[in-house]
Amino acid sequence: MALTLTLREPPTVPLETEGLTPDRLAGLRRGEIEALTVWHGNRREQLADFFTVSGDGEEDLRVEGDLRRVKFLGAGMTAGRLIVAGDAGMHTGADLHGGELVVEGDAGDFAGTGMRGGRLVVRGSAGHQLGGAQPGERTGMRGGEILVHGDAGDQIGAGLRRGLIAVAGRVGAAAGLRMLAGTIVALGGLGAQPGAAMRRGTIVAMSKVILLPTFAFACSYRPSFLRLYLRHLRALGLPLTEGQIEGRYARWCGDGLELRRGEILILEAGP
Amino acid sequence: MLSGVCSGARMPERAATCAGCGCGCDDIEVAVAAGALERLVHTCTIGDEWFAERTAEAPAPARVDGREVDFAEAAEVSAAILGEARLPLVCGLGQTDCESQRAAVALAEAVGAVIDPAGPMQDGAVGAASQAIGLNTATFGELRDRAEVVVAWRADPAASNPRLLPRLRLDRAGRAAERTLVVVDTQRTATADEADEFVELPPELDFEALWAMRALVGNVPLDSNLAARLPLDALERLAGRLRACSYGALLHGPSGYVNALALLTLVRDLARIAHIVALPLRPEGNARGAEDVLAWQTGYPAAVSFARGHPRARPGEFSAVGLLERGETDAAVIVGFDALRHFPPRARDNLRRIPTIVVDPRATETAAAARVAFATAAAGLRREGTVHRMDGVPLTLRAPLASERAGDGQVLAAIKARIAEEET
Amino acid sequence: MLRIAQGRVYDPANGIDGEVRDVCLDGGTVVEELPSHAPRIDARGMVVMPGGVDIHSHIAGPAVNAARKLTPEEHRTDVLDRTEITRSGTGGTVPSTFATGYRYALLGYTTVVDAATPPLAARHTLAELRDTPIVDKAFLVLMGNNLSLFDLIREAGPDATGPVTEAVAWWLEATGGYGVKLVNPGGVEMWKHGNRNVTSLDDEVEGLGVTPRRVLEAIAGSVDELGLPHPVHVHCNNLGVAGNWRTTLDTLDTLQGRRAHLAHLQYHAYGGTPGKRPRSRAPELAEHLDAHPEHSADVGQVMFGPAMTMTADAPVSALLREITGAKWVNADLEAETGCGIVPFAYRERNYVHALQWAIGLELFLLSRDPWRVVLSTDHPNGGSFLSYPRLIRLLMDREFRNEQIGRVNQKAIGRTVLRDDLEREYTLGEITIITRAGPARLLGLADKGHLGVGADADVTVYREHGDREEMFATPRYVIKGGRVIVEDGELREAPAGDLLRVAADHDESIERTLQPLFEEHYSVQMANYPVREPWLLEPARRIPARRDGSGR
Repeated sequence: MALTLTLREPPTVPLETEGLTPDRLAGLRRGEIEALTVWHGNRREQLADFFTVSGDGEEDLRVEGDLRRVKFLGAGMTAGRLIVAGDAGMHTGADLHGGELVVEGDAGDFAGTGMRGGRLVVRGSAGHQLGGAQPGERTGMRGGEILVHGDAGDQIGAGLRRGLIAVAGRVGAAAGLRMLAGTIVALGGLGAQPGAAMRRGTIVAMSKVILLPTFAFACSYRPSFLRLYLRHLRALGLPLTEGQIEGRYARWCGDGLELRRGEILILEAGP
Repeated sequence: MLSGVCSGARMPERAATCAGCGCGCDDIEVAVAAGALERLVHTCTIGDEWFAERTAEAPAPARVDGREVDFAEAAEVSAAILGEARLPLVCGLGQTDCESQRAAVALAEAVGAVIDPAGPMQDGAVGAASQAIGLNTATFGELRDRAEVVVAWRADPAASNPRLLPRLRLDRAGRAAERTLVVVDTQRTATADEADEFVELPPELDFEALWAMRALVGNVPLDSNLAARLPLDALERLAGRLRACSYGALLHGPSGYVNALALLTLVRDLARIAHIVALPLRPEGNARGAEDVLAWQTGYPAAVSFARGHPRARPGEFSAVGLLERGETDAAVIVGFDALRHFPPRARDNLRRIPTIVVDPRATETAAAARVAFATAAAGLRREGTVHRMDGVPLTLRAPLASERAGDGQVLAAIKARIAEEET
Repeated sequence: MLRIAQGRVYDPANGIDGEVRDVCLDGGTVVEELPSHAPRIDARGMVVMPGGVDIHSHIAGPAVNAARKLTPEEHRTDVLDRTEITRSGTGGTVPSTFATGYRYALLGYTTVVDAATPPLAARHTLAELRDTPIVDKAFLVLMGNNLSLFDLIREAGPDATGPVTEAVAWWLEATGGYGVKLVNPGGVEMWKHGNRNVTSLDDEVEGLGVTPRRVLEAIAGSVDELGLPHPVHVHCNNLGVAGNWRTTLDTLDTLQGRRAHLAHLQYHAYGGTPGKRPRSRAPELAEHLDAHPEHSADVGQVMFGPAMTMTADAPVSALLREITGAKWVNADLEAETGCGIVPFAYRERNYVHALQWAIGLELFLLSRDPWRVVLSTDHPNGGSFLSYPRLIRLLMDREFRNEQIGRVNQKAIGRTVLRDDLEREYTLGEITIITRAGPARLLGLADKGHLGVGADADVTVYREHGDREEMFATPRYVIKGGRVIVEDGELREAPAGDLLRVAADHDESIERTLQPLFEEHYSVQMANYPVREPWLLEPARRIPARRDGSGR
């Protein structure tokens, strides 16, 4: 059985747990794991004060319990597989460098902030500023993949420089705000002001979108690179139809207030 | 004759500065009789209320669960609450003086609290947006003497800061013929009645309109269909006015992050063509001071957590409202702010569930519901202090009335001292 | 009582250059002798200097604070925890106030001058300085774009300075300031006239009937007439513009015969033509300074790496905004000044950055009188004060310097005398002068920068180390006011430090002259303008001006 950390009861105030990642825990004895530092509000505590440790950690790491108030799950992880069995709190997968982090429930705000590599999968919904930037920083996510099976909040992929963010459900406002490059795929609808101030990169929408007037229609075509992306996403378990994969897309260029080298692709109705 | 003192010329017998809003009017005169305010000169309606609230019959200086206690006991109970708490919140702050704000930051640091001056008005959003774009601003005097074109963008100073327009000589009566005031808002406002032009704009189109303005200013083509929802002619006229003037200004109210981002970016674009500045209007008398004090002591203007022994900031995560709505805090110190009246419902409900310590010169609903309540001597009336006007200009608050009571700062310092005793 | 025993003492103000001797401290000052049982620090094999004095830095006030607010990304990765004796804080190029005080002290500095405060914002600066622990602090008051002073200067006509002098004294008293600062005189006012500027000393400030030259003459004249301890502190016009060395020389010629200190001279030492690639004119300026004992400068060295450009010279910031595309702050302060901020990074391979770096080194290495060309990076404009130890190594260690010169843009080096492998290496005595004794003397702080009997008991003790960067980065002991504040890079205690302000009387009738000007130019009441709050002004030490001329 995989090494498993079980949160006994929801903490009264948020618990901050940087470093509970498979790569860091690998090779630690149970006693060492139980002695790891977690922050309960303003108190420095030991992991064992909140979690029961079971199983043995070679390949995967599992975290269980009501984790909505547990922050920084999988933050800074570089390798291995971390499964969060349930909802996760803020900053989940922040600064993720490698490996796979699967959240079986919802993920709180700021998930995947400053992510550089690896894969973050959220089977439920993600909050605001998914794959975004730290305050004051121009650049957000720099690499890797984020897959959300539910919905995602506002300002996802803000400052995105490289990598892929795909959301099966609905995406909130200002997706790709000030993005520099990279790709955002919204299968279930895209909120207001998509791609505001985007310089380069691609945002894909499968249904009608209200664009900013600083975007300009370029053409209608069947982008071949997109097929590869979408088949890849389908292989990863996102619900994509042939119609979407093979379909015609309207290509809008923008943001005209920036370089106008970015594009928003909108699936056109009909075959 | 040589002198080493600046009398600053003649000063009225009882001079006062009003901190009822972010205008910091420092030309108030008060007449005092029998230790009470008899008459106020130069105040506006908000100012009259501000002085009235602070001279009304004050509750007992220190109460625990509504029971009158001596100061030391109240400080001790407060210290116990904060000593127990694992994530206390210190909030309010926008209506107290800078010295008390310093004491609030020191207390928050000592107990590993989250401190956030931003009230429910999304004041923090403009600050957060300026961390991405920067900002271009000016003090009242510059706006008054140089600004040829002034735009009130979803701001209604005539209501929120009644003396601002007259002080900037932008009201109809005081405005020179060659100066222009334009109002952009959902419907006609009191400020619109003072303006040369009113542009009607539904709130949900703020970002789009600001973005279109950027395009019009920068000669970037607009897609006519996509722009059809916008009052393009009016926006074009406005962009033209701003491009053509040599000094212009946007007065704007609190707004969400992306709208603030759009406005600051528009001003940055305009600044390459003309000298255009923006001034965020502040309803609270010292909201600007709270940001300034936090910034110089921690490096961050708002939403700071000391939980881990050093400052960390994240708007949203450590904002007072968010923290309370998510029920993530287990005690609160509320300074000069009637949270139960002004916070959104969910935040109010959670606030009722945790022990609170209220420090306020006024009798408020929040103070009445508090575990510990200190009724203090009001800065600007019974204690001197410093406030920062909404444009950042620091002003002295005078004390036309005497008081035996402690000010907000002394109370906060006393609680901190009590905690220090327990630590040692 | 404390005896610093048998260290190698560098006290150039008193002609002591590395003698092994004791330094005795009692009651916050240096004393002749102490009883033998007095507590002692064994300083054998160590280097003993007066505490450091920074003549030109930006550590407090609305501009500095705007830069803090602007850069959460720098603070997140550089934090200071709260301890028993210290407050928490954050660092980066613009640290929080507490962090600023601690880090200056840890570097062996005990006195710091903030070089640019708008008088209207003096309360803000004073409040921040009070929250800047350990070091003694003073600030210079911006007067180069003050509309009321412009009015007085215009009225006074070419020669008379009477009312201007009284007004200058009034402003110093009203703010708690120490000295007078001019930043791009006239140019910042023009910036508010549709983003314009002045380009020569004889450009008229539109509609105001004054020129930069007239402002320089009148204010410098007033400062001399008042006998202020520190001469007028000038940030020349045309900062950063290729060919600006002519403006700088013109400024010095205009001020000939009057005392003057030029700020961050490196930024004003460029040849070439505006808009084209600059070249170095450091040799000419160094020579001119050597020939004029009434003039001095701090270098404003740039150091490679992150910096924060922060200046009252707002039009310069607008140019930097265009060059970098980075976030930008501009803040117009009514009737007095402006403010511009742009985050910046100096890169070795960049021609202009490398030239700026080289020009700074030229100024250090070519100037013959270290008492008048002193160390600064114009913190944080040229780099953080934390880079001083590295700068000291560049000056003291020729081999290290040449190795660094080899790394940077060679086209730039080719246009400076650094290409000829300058032999000069600063001695410890000379370093003591440019980091302590010189700045203290130029500031007129008689009790600072030396270890003579009666001097403030501010002392830094370094462990001898071949790597001078290492040596100056972590003093063995730092003593402030006779108390051991730092031991081996650890703070032992964190006292408050004093405000240093000037005492210069004014003719009280000047207030009748100023009243109508205030009503015209300001949005605050003149009655509320002078700072009176004891909690902002105390504890303070008054340094008297010598109006009778005995100061000169």
